[in-house]
Amino acid sequence: MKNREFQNLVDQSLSGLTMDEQLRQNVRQAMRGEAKKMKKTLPALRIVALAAALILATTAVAVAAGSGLLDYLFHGHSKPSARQQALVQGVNARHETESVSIAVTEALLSGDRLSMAFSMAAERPVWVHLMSVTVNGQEAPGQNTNVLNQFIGDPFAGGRQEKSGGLTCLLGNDVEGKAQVKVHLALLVPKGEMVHIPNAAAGDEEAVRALIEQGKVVMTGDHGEYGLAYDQKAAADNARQNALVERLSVLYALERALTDAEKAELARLEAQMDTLPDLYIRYGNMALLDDFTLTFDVSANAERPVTFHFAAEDGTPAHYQAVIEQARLDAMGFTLRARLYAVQGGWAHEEIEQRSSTFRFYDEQREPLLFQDTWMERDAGGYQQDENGTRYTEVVYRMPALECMPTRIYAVPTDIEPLWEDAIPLCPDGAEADNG
Amino acid sequence: MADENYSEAWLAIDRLMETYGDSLLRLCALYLKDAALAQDAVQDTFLKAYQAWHGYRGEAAEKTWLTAIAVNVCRDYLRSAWHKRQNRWVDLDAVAERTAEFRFPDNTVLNEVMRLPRKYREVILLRYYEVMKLKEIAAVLKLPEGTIRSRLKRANSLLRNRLKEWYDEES
Repeated sequence: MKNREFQNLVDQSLSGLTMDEQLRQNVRQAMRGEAKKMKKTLPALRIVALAAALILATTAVAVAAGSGLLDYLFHGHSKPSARQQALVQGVNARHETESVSIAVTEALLSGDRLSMAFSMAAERPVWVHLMSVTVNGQEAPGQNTNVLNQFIGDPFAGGRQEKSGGLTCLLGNDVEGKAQVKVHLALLVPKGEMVHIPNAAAGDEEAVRALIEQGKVVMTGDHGEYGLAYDQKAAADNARQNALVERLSVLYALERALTDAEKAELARLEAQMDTLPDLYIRYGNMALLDDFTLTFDVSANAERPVTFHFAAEDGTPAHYQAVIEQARLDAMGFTLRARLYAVQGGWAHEEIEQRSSTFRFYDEQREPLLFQDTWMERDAGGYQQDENGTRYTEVVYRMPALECMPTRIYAVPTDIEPLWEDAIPLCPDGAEADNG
Repeated sequence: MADENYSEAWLAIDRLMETYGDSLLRLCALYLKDAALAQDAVQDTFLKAYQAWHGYRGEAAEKTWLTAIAVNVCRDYLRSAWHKRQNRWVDLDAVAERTAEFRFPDNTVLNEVMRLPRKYREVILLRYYEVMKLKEIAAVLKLPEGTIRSRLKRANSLLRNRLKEWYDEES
């Protein structure tokens, strides 16, 4: 096909369609309205604009004061708002021995997310491992950390090492009022000479084993971020652990909600499984130095989040049904929790499962929301059954706070490109009329 | 936005409507297969361009930038028939009146282009009607150039089967 001929063909065939004066007047009229309107703010989100205005007055002071926790949370990608600054609470939970000092210095609890800042120092190479976090007695799995599950500083540097950073945990539910937090940590130290294998590849497995058998502690990785190696073959040969895995895999394979008895059995079996520190100690020539719990109280952010609802009037996914369980934006981030159901003529369960981890997020202009390029937590996939016994796939996405609030958020599964006809449109509550 | 920026944007959009209005309207018509909706879409395109003008830095050619907005608007419309009926600034009765007499011509080539699945139709329209380079199409559709190349190849192959004589004569 040739460009010019095709162009002529279209222009001749559609010569009756022109951008006439009436159409231009319509556009001008709309532009006039837009100019008068200035930037229209969603009523539910005026508080965001107010906070943004306050940033001008307070950011300089706040940033000068500094917050290790916010530095950790924002990775330097964006400046925390005054609202976010105000949510950080000072904490003094400390564990000290002759050679190691570990403290939680700040904490922030907003909605179902708890973040805390750590400050650590050690006179010798010490590996800090997160065993568990509980909030009011409920398990709060750690999701992100830049300071735990690693050595304090550079284990090859010698002398005193210091390190600070943070941890973010997810809670099963929103927490209100005051909460008690318990952080269980294990400290490990090398029993033998430390050896570094940079860029360790699968082919190095035998070399790693040989070094461990010689009593050495093997560290992998480069750029100063060391991984701790253990003899995986020896660990895999552990008959007791393998028997546990067999029994656990039966429970994991159940495509239905577990009974209470099954849940209890699952917890009992999982508690017997080797943890990573166990593996480091048994198969990696590390020794347990200390095992302790830091306890502190933190008050939850009392601010109400902006909640979103499924904007069904803006289209529904073509190949599955989405039921929104939670879509909200609070001071610290955006969360989407949804159930994806199969529909007749749509994607099969397997395809929904496959696509459930491919969602990306766009604003009303179909521009990707920037937060997902900093970091995004996803917990997608896995079949579950709802209260009616219908099978669905659960998706949970969490992202940092947005700097600007779109009037729509589209959660879109992607292939090579976004599958727009399967987008989930989300609209802030009380903002339906502002889609022009 | 300051008043002078509004004035600058106003003049720019007026100029863009004059320069690209007809071709964008026709692009939207073929994309949407609906003349009335195309008029709505092209107005929406220019309004969005106006709103975004202060952020336009000229990295892409004006035509590419506008076409990208138009394609996004069309995609929105295709996904959501609701969009058309909302509280919008277009006088839909007037649009319907103006387009009531417009009928897509019984043109084999256009019919076949409009029969193509959307992902092929859009690359054909951008490549052969908007005369865009692969790189520009990739920018508009936010897809890798390789994807555009393969879609174009597939689209041409589909058209070639249906328009054998036209292709033989023209290419």
